[in-house]
Amino acid sequence: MIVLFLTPAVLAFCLMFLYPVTRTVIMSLFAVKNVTDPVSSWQFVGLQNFIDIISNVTFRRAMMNILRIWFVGGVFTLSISLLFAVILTSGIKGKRFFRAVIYLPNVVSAVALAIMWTQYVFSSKYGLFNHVIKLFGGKAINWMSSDMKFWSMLIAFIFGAVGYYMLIFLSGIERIPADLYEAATIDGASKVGQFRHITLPLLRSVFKTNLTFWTINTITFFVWSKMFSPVDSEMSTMAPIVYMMNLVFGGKGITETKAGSGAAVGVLLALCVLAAFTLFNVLIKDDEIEL
Amino acid sequence: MKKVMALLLSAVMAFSMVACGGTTTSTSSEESKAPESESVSAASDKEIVYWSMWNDGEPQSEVIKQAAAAYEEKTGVHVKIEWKGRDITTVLKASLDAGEKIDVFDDDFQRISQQFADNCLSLEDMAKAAGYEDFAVAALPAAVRGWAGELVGIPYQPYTSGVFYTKSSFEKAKITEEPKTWEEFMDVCQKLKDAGYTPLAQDDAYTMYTFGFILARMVGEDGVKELSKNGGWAESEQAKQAAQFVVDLREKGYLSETAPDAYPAGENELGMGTASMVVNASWVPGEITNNMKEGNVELDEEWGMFNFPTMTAEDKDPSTVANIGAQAMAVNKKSENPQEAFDFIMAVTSGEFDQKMALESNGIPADTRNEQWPEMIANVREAFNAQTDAYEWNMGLNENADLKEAINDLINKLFEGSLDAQGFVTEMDALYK
Repeated sequence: MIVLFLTPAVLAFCLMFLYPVTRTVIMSLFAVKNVTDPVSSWQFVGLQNFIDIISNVTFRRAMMNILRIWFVGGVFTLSISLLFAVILTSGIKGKRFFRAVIYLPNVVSAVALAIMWTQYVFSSKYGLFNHVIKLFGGKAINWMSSDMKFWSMLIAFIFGAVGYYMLIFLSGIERIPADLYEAATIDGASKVGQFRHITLPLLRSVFKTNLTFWTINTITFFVWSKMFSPVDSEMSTMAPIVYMMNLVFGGKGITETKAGSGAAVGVLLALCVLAAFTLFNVLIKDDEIEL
Repeated sequence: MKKVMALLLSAVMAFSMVACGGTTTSTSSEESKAPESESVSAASDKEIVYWSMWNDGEPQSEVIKQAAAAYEEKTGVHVKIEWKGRDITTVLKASLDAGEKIDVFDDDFQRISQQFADNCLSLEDMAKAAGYEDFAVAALPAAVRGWAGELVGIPYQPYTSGVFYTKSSFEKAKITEEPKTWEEFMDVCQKLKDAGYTPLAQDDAYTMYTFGFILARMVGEDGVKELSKNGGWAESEQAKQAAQFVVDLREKGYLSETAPDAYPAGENELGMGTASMVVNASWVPGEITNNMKEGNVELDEEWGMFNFPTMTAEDKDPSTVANIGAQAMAVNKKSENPQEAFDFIMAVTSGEFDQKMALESNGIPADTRNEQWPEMIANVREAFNAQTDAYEWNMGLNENADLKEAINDLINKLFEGSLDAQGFVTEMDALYK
């Protein structure tokens, strides 16, 4: 009976996940021009695709970019969203309004948001940021120059991401029983002390969840990169998925395709995700207390 | 065993997450039918399927719908159109190889001729029978044959390139003659600067385009390809000189202080009346006008255009060489109705509907019998007809796909002023080590 129930799911899983994944892993070891090329035309090259992409300056920059997005962006996004979550659960008035406002960027399309950032907020001539800087007597910054573009993109990305992670933190904090805080208050614990000794330790599994989601979001970073370089991909905003797309489908004015190398990028990224998950599991233990 | 299974399953899940990551752009297609005609008397059960690179609602798609309706009325063959948009590039090859019923498809003509050539039917015989060469813009099918070895697509919606400017700015700066040499170009820039304009608008998305023009004039497209592929920038006097030309533009204040601007902020400066010229393709007047319209500004501007100037007396290429391009419609080699598919292509890319498409989209007609050019780009006509040869996109700088983004990065820095000519060529060569 169990076999009968499981068969459709197992078959679907094998067909839709296991087969393409296996094919991609194998493809990464071959010189393949197009994804749909017959296997008979594949040429075995061993690890050459991996060597090629790792030695490619664009791929290395793409990896460095997502590492910076993951670390710098992660620190800011998770810190700001935790701060907002704590403020919103501290009993302030208008909680629902502020929660909606902070979450709002997640409802708006990333494409529309990116246009707002690139064409208005970061505009060198009439942009919001430079306007504020000039108000305080500062010198206008070229936010979209090749040196600044990455950081501008990261600021915009963080702005769009904070609300999502805040909601997860919010639900985690609201699960913590109020009596713990009451008891701590009676015992004379300050708000900061309560945050440090009650909220933070009891949010461990929520942190793990958020870190996992953040890692996946970072590894699959794509839309913001495309929107900050709308005509053609650029070094400063390059992400591995964009690099992979360029290899597999060609780019503007580039008709050469390398599906084998694209598969190698996919395999490397998957290994990165696995390594990150393993690391989180080892470093962050689940909550010892059941709430 | 459980651990092995768990590891295997988590590996698969991780992989699938990565694999799904890049699919957030809109590749969805909206199926559309050509308007039903009531007078289809010669009703046929034949149907051809056309996968279009346009989005429903674009000027081109509106004309194609009309062409499909007219074709259906005339032949009784129904045209089923699927609007795939520009992301057709990512789905087309797999769909063609998988045997999806597609009779006609289109994309950039270079991609059709190189990336998808294996899936295209040779149109040589049908084109000959239709007398296609009699009215085609000769350079376009020649380019297709150059890449694919035979005519695998019918180019349409051609474009050319050069320097586009607003006539009002030239009038205000009392410029009566379009520049032909770099020296004259710099004089024009000075006059425009004196008249209060940013002489040359430059967006980050087109720095390779402008620099490609400068370099290709001096060393030819093959020379640019050689530099792009194998380096040797520091040993090339012309490469250093080309970089110096950009430095001069910057130092003399002929570029905006914030150049290269984030596309399309730079080109929009022409629409706002603060900049005068831009190096781009013939779609740019229409694009700027549309951008302005989106900002509720009705632009009433007359546009001028001249060939990108010659750089030195020792130039390899004359000013009559420019980047030209087009889209191309092709017939799937597995199509069961190749003649019907070809006839539909002809209906769209020649005669009445080619004329209509040119006028509606502010583009160039692909059929030389169509005399009417959109007013906005009427000035392009002379330059287009006088062209003697064609450059590829970015004039050969794209030759090295592995280093393209890195090269672009350094060219951006050159335009920004953070690299001088010597620094630029040195950094370029460092990419090849």
